[in-house]
Amino acid sequence: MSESLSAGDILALNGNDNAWTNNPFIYLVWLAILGGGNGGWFGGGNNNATRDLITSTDLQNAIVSGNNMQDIFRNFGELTANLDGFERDATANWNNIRYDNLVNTNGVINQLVENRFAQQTANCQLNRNIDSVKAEAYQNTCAITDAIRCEGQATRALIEANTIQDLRDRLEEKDRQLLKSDFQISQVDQNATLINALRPTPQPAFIVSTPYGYGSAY
Amino acid sequence: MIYYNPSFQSQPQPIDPNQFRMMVSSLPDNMINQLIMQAQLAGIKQSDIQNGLSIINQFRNQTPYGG
Repeated sequence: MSESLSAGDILALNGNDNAWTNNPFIYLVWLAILGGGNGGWFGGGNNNATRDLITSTDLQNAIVSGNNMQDIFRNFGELTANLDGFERDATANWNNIRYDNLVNTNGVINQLVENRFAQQTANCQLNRNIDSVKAEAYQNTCAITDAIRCEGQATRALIEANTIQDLRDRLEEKDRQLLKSDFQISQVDQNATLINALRPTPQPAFIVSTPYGYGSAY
Repeated sequence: MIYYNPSFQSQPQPIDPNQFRMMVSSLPDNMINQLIMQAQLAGIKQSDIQNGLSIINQFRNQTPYGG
């Protein structure tokens, strides 16, 4: 004995002996049996007759309680509503995604611009620093040069001063020597004067040659 | 009983339970399978299809000369 529900059980559950006839699938089978005008299975029809026999109209007519087709239409309506809602959400989200992408892209671009500006500013500062260092180097070089020049000038001035002083010293020495010589000369003159004054000697008025010639005894 | 829908032009085919019981046992299995596919494409509930198949199997098993 079969353990599944019998037809009688199904009928008992349905509460109606012929309630199973309300099943749309049963009606579909019934239409196949009838054949839809080609004689069906019992009128010599072929196995492929059901494709031609069961039309959409027949299915539409298989409304047992009116709920099956309504359920189908309701499901279709729900599906359509869901698709519309999905399409709206997709459109909105896609627009949001596009807007977000644009905002993100704009932010990235702004950041790049700021980075470039900062880089240029840094480069400018670096150049200024380099110029400052170069200027300082020039200043240092100029100072060193000036110092060397001044040192040289001072050295030359010192040398000149020393030379001049040396010359002065020599001149003074010469003066002293000259003064001494003058003094000695004046002393000699003075002595001669005194000698002539104290012991005069004849002094010829003029110089004549000797009559006696040279080497003569007279 | 089949509820007649006056909005459709074609007339529904009321099911004769006794004739259906006698004829369903002669349906081949490939025919049943095709009907199942058509029912699914038409949007008939799977529960209705399962119930219908159960009923058909019961009728086929109960037929004295079928099986």
